[in-house]
Amino acid sequence: MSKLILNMTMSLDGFAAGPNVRPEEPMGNGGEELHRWMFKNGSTDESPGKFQAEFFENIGAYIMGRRTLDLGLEPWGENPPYHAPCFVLSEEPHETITKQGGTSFIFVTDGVHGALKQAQEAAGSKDIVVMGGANAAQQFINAGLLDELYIHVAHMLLGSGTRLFDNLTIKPAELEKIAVTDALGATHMKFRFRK
Amino acid sequence: MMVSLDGVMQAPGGPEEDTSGGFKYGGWTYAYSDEAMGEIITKELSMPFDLLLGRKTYEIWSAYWPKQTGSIADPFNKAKKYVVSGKGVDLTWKESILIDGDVVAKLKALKAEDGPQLHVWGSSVLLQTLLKNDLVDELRLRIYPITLGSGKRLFAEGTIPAAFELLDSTALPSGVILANYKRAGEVKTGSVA
Repeated sequence: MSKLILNMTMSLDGFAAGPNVRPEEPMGNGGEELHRWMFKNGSTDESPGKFQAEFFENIGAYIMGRRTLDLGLEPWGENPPYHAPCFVLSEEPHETITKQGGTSFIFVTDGVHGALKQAQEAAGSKDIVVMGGANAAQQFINAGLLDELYIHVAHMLLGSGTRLFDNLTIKPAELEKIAVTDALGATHMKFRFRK
Repeated sequence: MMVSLDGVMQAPGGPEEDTSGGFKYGGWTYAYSDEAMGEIITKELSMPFDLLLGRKTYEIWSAYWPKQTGSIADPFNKAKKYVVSGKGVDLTWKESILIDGDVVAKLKALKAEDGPQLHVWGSSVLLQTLLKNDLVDELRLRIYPITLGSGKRLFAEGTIPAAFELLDSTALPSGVILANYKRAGEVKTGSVA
């Protein structure tokens, strides 16, 4: 059965990006460092470290916010690392953007439920990852649609920026720990939502 | 100490490292040596230390490390090597010092001296002497998620009743558990019924 997983990194003080997110600094000021753990010792898209492998293997579809796509489209290049359909939450419609290597960006205008439905059709029995940004994450948390949370807490404080867990309208929710491990300057926490 | 779940510490590094007793699984840490493990080892070797080794481990290491360079080889080659042996041993490795005769007394004296920490690697036979004589201050275990069934064991006939304090524990994504213990007092008993 396909799982819907939120997989994101935040600083210890809870920021998914630093302040002043802009094309020149897509992760905001100081935010590049958040993802450093993924690229330790020269891991690249071609030879991924163990965590990159987990982020990309057995995933049938991705969901992301429009802003994340706008900022990421150029840096991800002609052959983005997703190699699967990516459903983009967007107010405005847009034609599908098809890249090399099996990645395509499909714009969805009927919200999280619409995006999830299309992602499930595309993913089949494989899992679906909500990979960012914070706004998209919050929408999925508030809609109660996620099965699992993979949060990588980078061992750093950012001080300010975009809080990952902001604007939540949920009632207090206990999580079930799947695994907590530590490596490369980040603590990796996997939780299941108690339904 | 790299150790399997069932307490085996023989030949973690490679198939030819130590095949005594017909041990067939040399190199059992290979599948778990990722960047995370590498970072832990590098950090540990970046602190000042001298080595305390039993004869068999010394013989294996002195044939291998002097030919290597790098972030692991360099600190090993640089450190003083105290080698415990009753039978005598060829001290071919630079900076090697023999400890024979009344080993326990000499080790107590060595510990009382000024100097960097003494790190023991391998040395399953020497370890039993160290444990039995309560000479171990810290146990740094790297527990691998495997059982091996047979082989030289970390805790053999040397253990004594002793309590420890857990200083630090980490689960690595590969499944290896790091657990660092400090020697801390005596075993307490009671009834939980």
